[in-house]
Amino acid sequence: MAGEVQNETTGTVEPPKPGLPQLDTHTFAGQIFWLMVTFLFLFLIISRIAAPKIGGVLAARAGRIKGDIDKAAEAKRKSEEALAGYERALADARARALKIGDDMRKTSQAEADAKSAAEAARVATDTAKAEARIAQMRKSAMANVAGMAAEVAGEIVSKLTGETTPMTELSAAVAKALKPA
Amino acid sequence: MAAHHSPMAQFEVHPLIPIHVGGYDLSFTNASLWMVLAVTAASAFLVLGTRRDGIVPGRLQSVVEVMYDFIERNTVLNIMGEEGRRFFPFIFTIFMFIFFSNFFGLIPYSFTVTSHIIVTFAMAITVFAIVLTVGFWTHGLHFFSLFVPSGAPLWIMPVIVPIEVISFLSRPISLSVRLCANMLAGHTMLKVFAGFVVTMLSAGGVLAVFSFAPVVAGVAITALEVLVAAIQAWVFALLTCIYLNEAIHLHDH
Repeated sequence: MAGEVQNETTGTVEPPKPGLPQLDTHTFAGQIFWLMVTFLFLFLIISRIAAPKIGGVLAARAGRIKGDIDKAAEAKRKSEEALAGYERALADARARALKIGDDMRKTSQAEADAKSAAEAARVATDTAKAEARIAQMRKSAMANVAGMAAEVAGEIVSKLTGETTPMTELSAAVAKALKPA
Repeated sequence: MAAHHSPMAQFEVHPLIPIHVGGYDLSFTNASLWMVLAVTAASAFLVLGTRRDGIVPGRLQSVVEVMYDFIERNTVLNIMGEEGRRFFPFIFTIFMFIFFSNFFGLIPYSFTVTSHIIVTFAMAITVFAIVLTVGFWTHGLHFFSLFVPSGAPLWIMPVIVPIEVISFLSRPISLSVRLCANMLAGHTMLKVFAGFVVTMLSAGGVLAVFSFAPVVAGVAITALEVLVAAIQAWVFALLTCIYLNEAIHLHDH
């Protein structure tokens, strides 16, 4: 296509060469020469400048990505550790809370037990005291009753017989009568 | 006039700056011009693409990196292993040179450097020479065991060794003809179909009405040629890797 346009625009019409232009051996030396020059130039650009640079960029990126992944893994490990620590702390706290509750219940139970025991003891002594007083009162009452009975008996006897009976005899008789059979 | 419209005219080499050295015609021709353009574009592409060498690549840098990575990891290292790394600059140069030459050849009125058998053959024979050098450098005379397939019975050797030798020696020919013929055929076909359009239009009548058909065909073939341009550049690089790999590892792959 190039040749054709050149021919039309520049007007330098060359006679068409027979056969394939590729087989025109006159061009071979020049083509090989310019191929060597251009190919070597590109090779130098690639081997000296482009390849090291691109390879460096790719390696840097791979390193950066690897570093970031490592960092992320490290962060994940840390967060998992923190979570485990938190869970452990939570479990500890729960256990402690349970223990404290348990202890409290035990102490209050013990206190309550002690208090009720003391109360029971106090009640028992009060009861005992009260009973003793009652017994005392009954005894003295009974003694009065016996005295009164002896006097009444003496008066009854004197009224019936007109004789005075000594007090001791009367008391003995009353005591004898009061004694349960 | 008709002769100048020959589909082969596009492959003609014209001197632009005549240079004659020691009886050799080393003139700067249209072929040389397109070699220089391809190499300049390839260099600019590679150097400018990585100008900012960002960790997060830009558009151009991404393209450069994709091509680099494709040739380095998917081709050179994939076939030759870690030992192949030292050949990477050479393989990448081959790939980029052919790739840009092929693509520039698709520009209308341009010249396809790789459509000339002498160019592709020069590259192929360079590859062949490097393969031989590496082979003898690495294995000495043991390199000849490349022609003796392991595991084959002894009596078959008189047949198989010559076949292996011939196939080995024909490698530079097949390598160069494959690329050159692909370019030659594709561009000739494009030119022929483009020529049909002109012929049919000037013929007038029904033919002129149907002159859109070769245009459609031309578009389709251009698309195909884009594919071929990329694939042939890669095939050349790939086969170079395969041949080099044999020279490095002989049969133990």
